[in-house]
Amino acid sequence: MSEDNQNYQEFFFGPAHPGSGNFSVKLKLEGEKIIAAKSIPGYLHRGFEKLMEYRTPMQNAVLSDRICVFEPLAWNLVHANAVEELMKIQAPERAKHIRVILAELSRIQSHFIWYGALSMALGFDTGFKLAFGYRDFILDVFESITGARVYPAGYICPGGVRRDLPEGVEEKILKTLEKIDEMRLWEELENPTFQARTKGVGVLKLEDALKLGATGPVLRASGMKTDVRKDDPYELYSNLDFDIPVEKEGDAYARFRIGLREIKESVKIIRQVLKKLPQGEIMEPSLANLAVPYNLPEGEVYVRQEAARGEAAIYLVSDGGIKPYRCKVRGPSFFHLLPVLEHLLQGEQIADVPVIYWSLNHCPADMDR
Amino acid sequence: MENKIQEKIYSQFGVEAKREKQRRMWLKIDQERLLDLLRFLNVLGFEELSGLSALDWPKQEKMELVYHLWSYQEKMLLSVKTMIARESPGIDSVVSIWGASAQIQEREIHELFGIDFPGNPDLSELFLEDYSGPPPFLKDFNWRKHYE
Amino acid sequence: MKLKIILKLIRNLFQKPLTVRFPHESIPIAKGYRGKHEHNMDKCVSCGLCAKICPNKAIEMVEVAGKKYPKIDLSKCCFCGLCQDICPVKALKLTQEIPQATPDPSSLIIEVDKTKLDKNP
Repeated sequence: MSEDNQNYQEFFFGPAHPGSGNFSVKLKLEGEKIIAAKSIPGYLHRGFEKLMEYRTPMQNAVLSDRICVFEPLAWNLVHANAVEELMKIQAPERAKHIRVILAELSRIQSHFIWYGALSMALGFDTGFKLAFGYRDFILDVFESITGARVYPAGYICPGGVRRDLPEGVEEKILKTLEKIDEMRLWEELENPTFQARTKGVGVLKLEDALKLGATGPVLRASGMKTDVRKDDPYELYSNLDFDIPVEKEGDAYARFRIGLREIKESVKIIRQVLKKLPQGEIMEPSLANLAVPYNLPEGEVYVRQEAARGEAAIYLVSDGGIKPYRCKVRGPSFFHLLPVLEHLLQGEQIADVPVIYWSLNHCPADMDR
Repeated sequence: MENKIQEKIYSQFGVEAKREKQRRMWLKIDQERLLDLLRFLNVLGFEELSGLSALDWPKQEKMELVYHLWSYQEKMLLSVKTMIARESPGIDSVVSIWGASAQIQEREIHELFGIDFPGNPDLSELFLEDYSGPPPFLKDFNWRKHYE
Repeated sequence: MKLKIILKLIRNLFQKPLTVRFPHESIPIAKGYRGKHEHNMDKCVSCGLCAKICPNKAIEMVEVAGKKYPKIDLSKCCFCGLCQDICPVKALKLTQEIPQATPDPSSLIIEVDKTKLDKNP
């Protein structure tokens, strides 16, 4: 039978589909098996890299939390660290502790969204409701510290943080950590349908993962023990005590287990930092006056950090003015959605597409910028 | 650890890698020897192409490309910079060294800056649909005039 | 471990639900929430710093009865609070009132009320 006789169908798994988000994939099918897949990005392209060239660093801090929808505080921290390294200053100690607490809480709530969306894709409604219900307690903590539930509008800015902690927020954080431990108790109960649909599906081997550019939990689920917080430490991470979870199989079930173990490690970090929170000022004095714009010295800097999805990086170049000359953003989902997804979908059944898609923990806004 | 790599690069290519601080090094090289240097660095252990950035310098009439390489064994970042001409810019592709992660980044730069990469299997459009104007991230792109 | 779950289930059966009946009762909003603006025109010194720092250019200085006041367009505002932080006399504040969706675009512009000004010529 020659190739011309076979019937191929093209199927568009598009952005208005209830399981897909702002991203679409064109599938070439033969019966129920996928022959080839092509990703179509670009629904959320806003041109961040050009927008940041027209604003001062403080205004860019407000803009930087819309790079990724699910974890704005992590991107705030990347941008603030980039500007501080270029100006060769450090934030005060109290500000560093507050920043690490918020970054780890943001990682936990992003993993809750991951778990909820993966359950929703399988039709496991209980998991979806548990995840999004418990996430609300973390958003209440954000509201009392930063002023809004999801977008903190540049709370972590170059020089420190914008406001001090209100009264009684430390007890509130400890109560929230107890609720998070309660949530993990529910997740330890393994649903047999969930296991059967995720074990052995979407296997990513280690050599392929390195060539395709995977980072973060996707790379750790394939067997490589690496984490930017340990290899290239920033803020307070070189003095903290935590583990890096690693799994060997590389399938969707291994990625799900890594998400749960990372939540446990983040809770450990928050407890350590809360115990030694010092008093002091919250913003570097030379950058505290908003009315006087400061010049960025000439130079370039490349800052890498560990967001919940993988390796997030910013390359900042300045030629001596008050606005940056070039600000390039490296999003982790750019590599997970374009080469890795096309490689994983080849040869799979069409019923497995939502599982593989949501197990990669991606954010379309991160990819398009 | 950084000194060993600096010596190896100097003995083979004659260019000096400047150490900015712990785990960060910067290096400048001309366009002709760039591919040989990148292949050499890949063998030395720099397995990840963490980022590929392009910059536009209209006053010097040149464009600049920066390759950020990360090594998991040595735990070090080395950034390689090179200048290319601004009129019909082009440079050889590195897909043969780093695979699909390099191919997708070159596709994005081709669309937004107009740099050509011979050797890249697929340079079709990525983000902008039905767009037929000049590359939008260049410094002399007047976006207000384009939409009138 | 299964016993812990069953005890928790029985305890949950007798608790009241977490949801509230929204228009009749509401949950408390945190202090420091960034909502709609409130401008005190007596304190304003017309420096124009709020218009300079707004990242979306939502504030414009307009002249009313010989003095310049800010006019805020809420459809462009992202409620970041930079205008509140930079005001040197603390005349512009963000309250706890949440901006609601409305079919009338003119209600989204906050500007100085001319009738209140005429009392002090």
